Amino acid sequence: MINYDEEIKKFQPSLEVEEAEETILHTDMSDIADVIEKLMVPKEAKNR
Amino acid sequence: MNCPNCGYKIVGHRRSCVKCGRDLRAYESLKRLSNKLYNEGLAEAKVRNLSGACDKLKRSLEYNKENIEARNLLGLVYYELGETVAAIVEWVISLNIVKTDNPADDLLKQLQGNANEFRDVKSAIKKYNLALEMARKGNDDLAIMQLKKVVDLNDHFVKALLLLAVLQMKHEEYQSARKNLKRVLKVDVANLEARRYMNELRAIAAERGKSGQPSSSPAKVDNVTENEGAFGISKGTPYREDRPNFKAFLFFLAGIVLGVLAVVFFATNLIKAKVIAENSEETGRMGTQITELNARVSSLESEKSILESKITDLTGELEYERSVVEEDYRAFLGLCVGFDEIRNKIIERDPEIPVSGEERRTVEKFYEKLDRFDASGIKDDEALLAILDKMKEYLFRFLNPENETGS
Repeated sequence: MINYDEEIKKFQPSLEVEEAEETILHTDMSDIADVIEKLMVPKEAKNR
Repeated sequence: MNCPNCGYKIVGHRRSCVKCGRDLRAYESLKRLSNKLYNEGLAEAKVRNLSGACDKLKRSLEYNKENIEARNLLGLVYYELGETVAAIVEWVISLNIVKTDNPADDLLKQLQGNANEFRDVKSAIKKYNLALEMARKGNDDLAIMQLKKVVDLNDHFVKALLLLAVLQMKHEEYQSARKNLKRVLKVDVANLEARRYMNELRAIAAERGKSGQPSSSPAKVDNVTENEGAFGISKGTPYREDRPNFKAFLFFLAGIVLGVLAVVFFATNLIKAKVIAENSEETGRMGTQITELNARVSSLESEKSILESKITDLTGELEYERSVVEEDYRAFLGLCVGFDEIRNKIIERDPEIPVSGEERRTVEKFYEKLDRFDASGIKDDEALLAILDKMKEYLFRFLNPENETGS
């Protein structure tokens, strides 16, 4: 049996137009390549 | 792809950077994975599994943030789900990564070009957020009213449809909830929340069926969901025996009866018209004949009058002729009577009494009278003519006895 109130809580508000600029500026643009890069730099530094 | 170390633009597939020598094999693998996920996301988007496509495309971007095809497609998926601003965000980021020859530019221009639609989208998002706030506070009725306006403005707004369906289920408006969930599944065939709520409706219907309560709306949901396979794709309609459709049969019969009546009606009218035409023709012909006959009658009447006058004339002539013949016969009779007197009184009296000179002259006059008699009136009567000749011969012998003795 679904708990309707719990279900309602799961819903998130939708992005409004006024928030678009803020969202674009603060979007996390890192991907796995960036993560690998972060991991590899210290390793290379160690190797040196 | 740019070298993650020096930023040098690498063209094609390389094991190491041309400039700094960084090993690029790992990055090439990530690119391949990103592309693979993009392809899978594209395939799912094509069959309207937007939730699945969204997930795949996000993962694609996690492997390679510079995969603009994946980002643009993700924006399109968001747009289709009713998340217009999220779509704009993705397209703007895509344009920032690749500024030229980017389809995201056209997509943004199209959206900005349609001002009315953009206004409706903005209004729908605001109302949705307001409705969500009301629902969280417990003002379900107001939230439902707002959400109905939202879905009128944007009938693809999946989140709004789902929230509306949940509130309706909470208030046992199962029929309406089912309708809205169906609308969600039309947009996003594999939407997990929608399927979960549909299952819930089916469970409610089953429970009501067991308890004997009227199960109008949930029962319908039951029929719908059983026919749907994975991701809402229809398995096909279940086998049903063909029942005779009496309504259709009745309509068919009614159609036949009407058709027959129409044919009879038109045929009757046609025959009537034909008969009238024929009668008119006949009447016309008879009229002509009557005219001709009348003319003939008039001419005959005139002939008759002519003939009657002729008859009158001829009758007159005949009368005259008759009168003439009768006169002749009377005259002849008179002669016969005169002859008889003369014979009795003069010729065949006592022979001892001599015939006087006067008596002789009387006989001679009578003989002349006989001789001068116009016998044309009795010319056709041979007996009378013979009598006349005999009378004349008798008197001639009396008057000329020497002829008798001399011969």
